[in-house]
Amino acid sequence: MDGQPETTTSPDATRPARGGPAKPQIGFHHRDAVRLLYILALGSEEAAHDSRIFRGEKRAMAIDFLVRYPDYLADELLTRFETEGDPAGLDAASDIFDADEPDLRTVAMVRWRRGAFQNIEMPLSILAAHGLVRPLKQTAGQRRHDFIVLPAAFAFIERIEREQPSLGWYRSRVELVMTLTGFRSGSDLKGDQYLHPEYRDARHGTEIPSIKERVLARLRSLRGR
Amino acid sequence: MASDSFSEPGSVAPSDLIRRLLDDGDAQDLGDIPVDELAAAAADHAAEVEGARLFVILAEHPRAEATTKALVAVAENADVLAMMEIASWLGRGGQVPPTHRQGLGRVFLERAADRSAHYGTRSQALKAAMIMAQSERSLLRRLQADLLDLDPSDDGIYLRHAARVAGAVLAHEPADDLRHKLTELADVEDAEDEAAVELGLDALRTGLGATTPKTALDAFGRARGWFARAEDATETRLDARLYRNCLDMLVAFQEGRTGEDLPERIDTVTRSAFEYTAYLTVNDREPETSSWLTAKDLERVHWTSLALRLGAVTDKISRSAWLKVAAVMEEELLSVYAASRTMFRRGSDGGLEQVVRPMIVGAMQRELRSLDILEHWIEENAGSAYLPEAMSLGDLVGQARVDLVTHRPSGAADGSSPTAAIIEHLPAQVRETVSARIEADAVILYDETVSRTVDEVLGTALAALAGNVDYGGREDVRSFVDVLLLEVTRFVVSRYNLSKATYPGVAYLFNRDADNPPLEADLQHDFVNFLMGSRLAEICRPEARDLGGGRVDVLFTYRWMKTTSELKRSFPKLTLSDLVDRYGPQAISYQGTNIALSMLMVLDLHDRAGAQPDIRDQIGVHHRTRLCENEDTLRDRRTIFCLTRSPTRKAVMLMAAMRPFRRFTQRLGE
Repeated sequence: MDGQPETTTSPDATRPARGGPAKPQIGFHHRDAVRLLYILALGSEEAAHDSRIFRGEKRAMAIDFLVRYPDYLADELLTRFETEGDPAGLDAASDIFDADEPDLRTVAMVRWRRGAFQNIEMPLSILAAHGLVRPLKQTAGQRRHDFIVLPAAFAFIERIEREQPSLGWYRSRVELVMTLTGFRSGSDLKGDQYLHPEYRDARHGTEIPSIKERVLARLRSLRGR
Repeated sequence: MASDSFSEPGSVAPSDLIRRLLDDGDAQDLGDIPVDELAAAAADHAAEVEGARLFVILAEHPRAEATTKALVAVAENADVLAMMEIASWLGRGGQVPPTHRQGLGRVFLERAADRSAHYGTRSQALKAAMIMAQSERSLLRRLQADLLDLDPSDDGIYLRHAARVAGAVLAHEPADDLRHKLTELADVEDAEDEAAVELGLDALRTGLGATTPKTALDAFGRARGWFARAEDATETRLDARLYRNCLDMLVAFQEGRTGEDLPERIDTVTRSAFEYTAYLTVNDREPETSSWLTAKDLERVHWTSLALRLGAVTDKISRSAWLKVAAVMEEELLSVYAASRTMFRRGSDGGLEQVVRPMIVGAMQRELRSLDILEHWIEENAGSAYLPEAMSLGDLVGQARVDLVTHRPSGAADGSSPTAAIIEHLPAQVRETVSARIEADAVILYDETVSRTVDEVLGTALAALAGNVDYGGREDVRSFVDVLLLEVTRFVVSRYNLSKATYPGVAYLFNRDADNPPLEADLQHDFVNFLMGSRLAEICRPEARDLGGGRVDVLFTYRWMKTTSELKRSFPKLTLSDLVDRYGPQAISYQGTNIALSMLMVLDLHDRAGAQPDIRDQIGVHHRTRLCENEDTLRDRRTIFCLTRSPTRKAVMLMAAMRPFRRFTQRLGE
């Protein structure tokens, strides 16, 4: 499995309008798998037998949301700047807009019953087939899904970054998100995301909208102080 | 792998050719390269995204005879990622030439059966095989055989996917052995909920077609049990919960438990239905929850229709209310079932090349609709000289409806229609009129069950509506408009197909007399008659004066929402856009304070010498910007349905949307 950069457009073609002719849509699954791998690997904790464990599918979704929505991530960074006075947050938010990431890097997610959602069954099966990740069987009564990240995953990430340096974006982005989320639970992270009215009020089954303009105005206001 | 040294001097090496195909992404000249060499080179590029891209390029290459082996080679060597991308491409309507389908289908089946492979590769290969089998009978037989050979000790996650495929096949080709196989799969932990849902749907279909109360109750009870089991097996199975809620009500009715808890039951079902319709809504990021292309739009609309119709039951504490609810359930669940198990295959032009629908009977549901139309006609003509027995005829209709919904044999002779038996009681001079109206309605149902047109028109119109501020932003408006759109689409399509001989009520569509042209009233009479036999009967009122300070031709009201249908006739040759420009402003003038949507119907009397364009080209969506009279109005879109009908049987439906009012915007335009 190789990597490739992610942008807002389909890796190979745009999605056809409903009722229109089908066009090739090759690469979505691959892109989803690469992004999920970075999240699971860099968001994992130590576990037994040289492996690591990523705890919580809901947590993966919450981190994925911030990776896929640079404008929401920028807003979180600005909040950190305001509450902690950390100028790195302001700089990182500025970088996001300087690179036009809300336009180029956003990969929309659907609002569902527990917030941003994407079925990860497909990308997960790719990672499992390549021996990089192993979903843990749930025990009776357990509602949380955890994932074992195997050593091969880290070697694989190193290799694809050597072959395609542009994939370093995923590493730096997930690392940046992790500075905000740490190892907080998925419910806790989603609680923060629900504070955005655009996220909270999105109809079930619709895409969560961008907040680019609102965050940009906030950034300019903070820069102007 | 074929070595370059094997290539002829001056010709392109197979590996170079493959590279060029991948780099350019279009149909390269394949020259005279041997097919075996091309296949060997293709096999070396069959993994990951590249493999999927190569598959698509080869599938779309004009020289099918030269690419067949290479395409098979890619399918034989695709890894999990390539197989997933290929199956998704096929699932979204990607085209494989008919000559390739047999060979590819067999390869996909072989890949699915290979227990040494990863479940992801196998599941996706099975999905791809099923898509191929939709249009290849012999392949379908192979698929059925492989499904019967499924081993419960196999990988549970693979079996989970296989259960879905088995359920889809069972819907199209009912068979006890496959049913038994699904029962086995329901005992596999990872596959339990999928297998249970499929068995629930299978039992539901049996119940809907039952001809005795006992078989109906048994089947509904079985279905209910399977759906409940699926709910228990997983954290969230919205579909199973919704079906179970519906079946709880049907079983209660069939068992005579028609207590005063009907309002609560209706609330439960409507809530579940609206929640599930949100899940069925198509998004730009398709979650690939479906293993095949289904009529999701139609399924969503019928769930919505179910919820709306249940909500419109005003008296919720009587036996007759229970009867009405049960009738609605039986009608809509059949439509939902048919939609959820329908498979599409799109052609290269984007149109539906093939629609594979499940085998359903629906006789009882058709009879219920016929009774509705007959009842409406009796009410319409009660008190007239030739209908002195209206009251007793109404009682006969009521009894026939009870017999149908309780799955009891009617008093009509075996094999004959209860509705037809009641029509025999009518005076001879009116029987033909009533029969014709019922037959016209049957054409509509026929259209919905076998024609692609409704599917196409509905899908296109729903997609276009997404930009409307109310439709896009409010769940209740979307539900209301979905059902409105379904019925209007049916009207358009049915009038496209009806002849005067079948239904004299459409004679005005064949009137090309320039001195005595048809009137708006003819269209209105036809449309209103249609509505009164439709799902909208309880929420529409002709000649209403409740909106916009004027009289509207037809008013539709549901909860707080109101919308109108304005009817016009037009003589000059006008485009759809011209018609919206000309009549749209009046059509939306009634909508100043309610939802930003109304319908305009135009009887197009320009004589086109009998030409009859494809109906799908005559239904479109147009957006308009127009000044709002009230500057404080924040509404930003108005949508108009516009349907034109002509003596050449031309039918057009349009929609126009009003964009935000801006003080300095002074023009009307796209």
